[in-house]
Amino acid sequence: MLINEGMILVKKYVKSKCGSTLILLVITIAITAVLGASLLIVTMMNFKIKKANTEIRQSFYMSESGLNIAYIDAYKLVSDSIYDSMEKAQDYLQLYPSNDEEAKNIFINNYKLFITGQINNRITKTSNPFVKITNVGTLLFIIDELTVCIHSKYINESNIVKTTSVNLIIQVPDYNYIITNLIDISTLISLENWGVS
Amino acid sequence: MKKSFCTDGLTIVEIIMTLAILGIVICPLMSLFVFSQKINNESEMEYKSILQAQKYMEEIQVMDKLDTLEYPYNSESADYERIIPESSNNFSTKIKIHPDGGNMLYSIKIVLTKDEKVINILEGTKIFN
Repeated sequence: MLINEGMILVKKYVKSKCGSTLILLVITIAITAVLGASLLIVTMMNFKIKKANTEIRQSFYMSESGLNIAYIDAYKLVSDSIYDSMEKAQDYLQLYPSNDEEAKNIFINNYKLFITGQINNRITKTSNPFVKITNVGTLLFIIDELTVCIHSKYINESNIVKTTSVNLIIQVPDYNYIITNLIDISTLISLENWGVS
Repeated sequence: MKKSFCTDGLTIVEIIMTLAILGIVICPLMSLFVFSQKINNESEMEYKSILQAQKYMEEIQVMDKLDTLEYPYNSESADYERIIPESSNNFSTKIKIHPDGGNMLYSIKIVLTKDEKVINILEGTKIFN
């Protein structure tokens, strides 16, 4: 009985249309709020993507800086190596002035040993960008050419990591050019196979 | 049957009340839309500025030798500078190329500003033999 009376009352109220404007208002506000919130979420996401894109580009150039610094370190190492090897060859020539061929061998062997022995210490950097040699175990001159695989990793404030890599090729200089001071060190070092990950 | 209360003029009262409630609620709701538009403008500026900075950075990266006509030396700050005014671009751009301690490494800093507010900064290095 009670349920039936209740149902009759609800039907009467619905038919009377009293307060329908308020219901319409509630619906309108709800729709506008949902629309506004979704628009804000989409816009915020879009902004975050653009910001991340900016940070990735900034990190890329900072990571690449690590490779440039590695090149400069390699340049200085080659210069030091030539200087040291030249001294050793000159010392030998003072003892045996006529044995030019052996002095040349001493120069080349010392040059290779100096570079392979010191390149890891000179290039590796533990700061940001973090620079390391990935083929430390196989650092050997093959046909007067040494290939050094360098990786540079940069981590920015938002923990975005960008890694770049390059193969640094170091060549053995011509002994005859060295003794005549005609060598340009930049011709002995080249960068190949740039990579980004 | 006797009416419980008179319903004459109920519609106008409802409309007035609705408008009043709508007036109160619409303000915070509209701020959502305004805020979204503001963020949208900012993301657009962020994207355009980094594209422009990258354009100048790549221009420097492909140079064989430092173009001192485009980037004249400033003895006061001891670096090569170029300033591109806002009129020719969306942003005012200041490019500084600083020789790093006498070796071949040069550090590059590109600062983009709009209405004297820094929008974006792009830094990098370049080796000039």
